[in-house]
Amino acid sequence: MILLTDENFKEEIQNSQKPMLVDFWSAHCLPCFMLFPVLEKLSEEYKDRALFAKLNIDESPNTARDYEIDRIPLVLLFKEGKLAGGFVGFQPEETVKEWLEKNLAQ
Amino acid sequence: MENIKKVIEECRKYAEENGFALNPDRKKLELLIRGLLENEKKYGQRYCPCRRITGNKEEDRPKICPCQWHREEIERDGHCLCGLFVKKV
Repeated sequence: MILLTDENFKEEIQNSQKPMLVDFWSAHCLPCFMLFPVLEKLSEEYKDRALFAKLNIDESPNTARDYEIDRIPLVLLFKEGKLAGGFVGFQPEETVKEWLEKNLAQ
Repeated sequence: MENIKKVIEECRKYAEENGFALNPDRKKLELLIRGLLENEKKYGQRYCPCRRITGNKEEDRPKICPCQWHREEIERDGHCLCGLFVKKV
């Protein structure tokens, strides 16, 4: 997974040739840690269709503030540099896959 | 470690008094309590580790654990956002 920070976030999102999924997380956030293996697995499965990235909101507070992030884990999908969807909280693999299929197809 | 145990007991008492329970997984529970204590050290309050702290005390007040939304989340999802409190089985 790509590691995003306040420094590279905009550039990576804007320049991505594929849709980019960004997982906003923080240390001590239990559902964030539960979601990691799900996204790691799906990043491999969807490697031809999307890029997977994560951003620690404590280490990159400006991006978190710009996107008015309130709850984590928050997963946002960017397509051609624009926000195209997202979900909050831990979701099981099947639910994330359904969400990805729906949102990548649109 | 002593402090973690103390906070777990405080949370357990609160959960029992309010008809729900604590996350039964001890490791997960300790991770969450560490998050609360980390936030207390950093921001002066035991804010939920699953919510972003803005630094605006008024805005952040509802995020102090147990947060403003925990009851409806437990009722709806079976657990609060962070998984500290769960529905009693």
